[in-house]
Amino acid sequence: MNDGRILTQAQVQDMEATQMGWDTLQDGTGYRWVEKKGGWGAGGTTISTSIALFGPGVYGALFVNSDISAPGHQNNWKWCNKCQTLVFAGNASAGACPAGGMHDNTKGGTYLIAMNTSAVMGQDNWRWCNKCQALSFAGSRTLGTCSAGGVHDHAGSGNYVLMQKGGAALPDDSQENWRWCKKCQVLAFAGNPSTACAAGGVHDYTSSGNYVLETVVGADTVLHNAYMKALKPKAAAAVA
Amino acid sequence: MAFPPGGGNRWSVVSRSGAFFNRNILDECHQKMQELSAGSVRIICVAFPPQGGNSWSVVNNQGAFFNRNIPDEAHMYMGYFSEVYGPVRIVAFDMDGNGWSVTSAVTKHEIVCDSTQCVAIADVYHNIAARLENKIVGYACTVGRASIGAFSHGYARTSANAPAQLFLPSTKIPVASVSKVVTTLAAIRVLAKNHVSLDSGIGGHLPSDWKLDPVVASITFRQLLQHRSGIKDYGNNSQDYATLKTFFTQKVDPTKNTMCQPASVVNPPDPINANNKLPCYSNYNFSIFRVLLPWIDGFVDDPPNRAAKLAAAYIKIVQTNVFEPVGAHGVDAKPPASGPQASAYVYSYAYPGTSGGHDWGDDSLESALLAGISPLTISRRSCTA
Repeated sequence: MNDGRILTQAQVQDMEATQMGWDTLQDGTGYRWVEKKGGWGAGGTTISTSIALFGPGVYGALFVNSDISAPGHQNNWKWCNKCQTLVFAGNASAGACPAGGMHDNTKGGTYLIAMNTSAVMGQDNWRWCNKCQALSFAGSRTLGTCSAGGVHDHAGSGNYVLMQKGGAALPDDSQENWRWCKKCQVLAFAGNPSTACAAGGVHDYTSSGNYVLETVVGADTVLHNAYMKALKPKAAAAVA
Repeated sequence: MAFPPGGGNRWSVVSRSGAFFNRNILDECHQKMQELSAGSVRIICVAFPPQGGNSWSVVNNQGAFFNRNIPDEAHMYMGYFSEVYGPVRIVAFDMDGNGWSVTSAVTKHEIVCDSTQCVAIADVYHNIAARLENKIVGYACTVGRASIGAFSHGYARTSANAPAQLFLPSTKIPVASVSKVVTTLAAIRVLAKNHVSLDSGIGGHLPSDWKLDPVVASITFRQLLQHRSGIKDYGNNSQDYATLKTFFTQKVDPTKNTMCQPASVVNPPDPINANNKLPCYSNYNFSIFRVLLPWIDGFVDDPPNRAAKLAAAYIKIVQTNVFEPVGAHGVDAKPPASGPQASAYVYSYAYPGTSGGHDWGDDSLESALLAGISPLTISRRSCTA
């Protein structure tokens, strides 16, 4: 049978209205759209897929066969929801957490960090601690207390570069308010209350810059953002 | 005027009025020029790639073109330009290398508006390309309402899995959970065709040797498709026929109130909550349709081979009810055994793709679809119009 149509109009409306197969989403601006996203991973590789239907009947689909990264960047940095610290999640051990037990990086996003590159403007000399997995600043007089005991050990680390927020708008898919703790030297998210610091008490962000991290996104976010950035007020679009 | 590589008395001349004369040009090319200049339509460009042989490109003044063995990327751009911007006018090939050039008249530039805002489709394509430039191994995309263009960039397979293969709109890729929309389309259509309500229970629509708990039997098709079945297991596991049978024939303890589990929790105890139908994402909600739809649609049981035959029947249902009605062929749950796509379908990579990729291979028993963007451009308006 080749009738050129899959569903009747009533079936399409039912499918969309009752969210069968689709997800109806709303972004921070209040814009609503329907989409279905997919993703698979194996052996460190990624497939990311998305199809979406935007406002006035615009259809979009995007299939990507890798993670969305950047030259000179390292993927798989994550936020520990217990101590707020940025930790590397690509090793067998999650690393000791100052809030007790091991870091818990299962609830937050994933971040890209520039490494061993001069192409990114920012502050370098941030290092990975091979004991607690945290990103910590190596340019201070002290290496900082490590939650795994002693002080941070940067052996084997690359030279990471962090961008600080300036006057310009934040780059696409990025998050600000990451801060340096002057006590333990780690980078931690300051948008939540600090609960623990390896040096005792809670993190102290006094004198820290406002660091901006690039978040890892999938095809769904790219497709949605590409559409939203193309939207223009009707009058302006008519003139253009 | 254009000359095929290799010299000799071989050339093609096209006049401004559309008349053309070919000397010792391949018959197929000459024939296609005649076809593309029927009536008042006229040929405006003919070009020959440097590799010679049976390779050429012909364009007429209506924007129609025919390519034989030209670089895949050039062919992709000709299709993309035609759909998104306007008719292709000029295609030319660099005789000293692999370069090529495609020029299109900008006559379309589709702009879609609602009551307050407009979006230029070309801008969405541009934004996608800008965001992904140098940040992925490969991608394909399609955007539009009236237009059915597609654009791709990068590699389906890198030199780490030599030979490298371009990611083209026709390149097949496992679509992962996007296949749930396809399952939904197939389910709505097959249920309607067989006069089964979306709001009826799934009990009675599974093999008789599946002894269902009443809680499971009362789960409706709509609840499955909405992730409101009460299943609280994400289903981050292999879901072949045996796994599905074990899961859906388990006893449900109505005193247990398991909450929705994240993907990281595999096989949680008491995964079906009889008292809570709030949305909870689970792959089980959709994978069970691989048994339900064939069973509803007249599956002839063959108990010793039921798993394999159900899997094949489900794929056939999807092809018959979702893709073929709109003229899209070749969507399957396993890579093609022959033809260009047999060695060119997508592998997944860790950026930048310098390490070997992952071959998802034959997934027909779990029915994760492999599709290119191209079949979706054909089918999309038929399910959303």
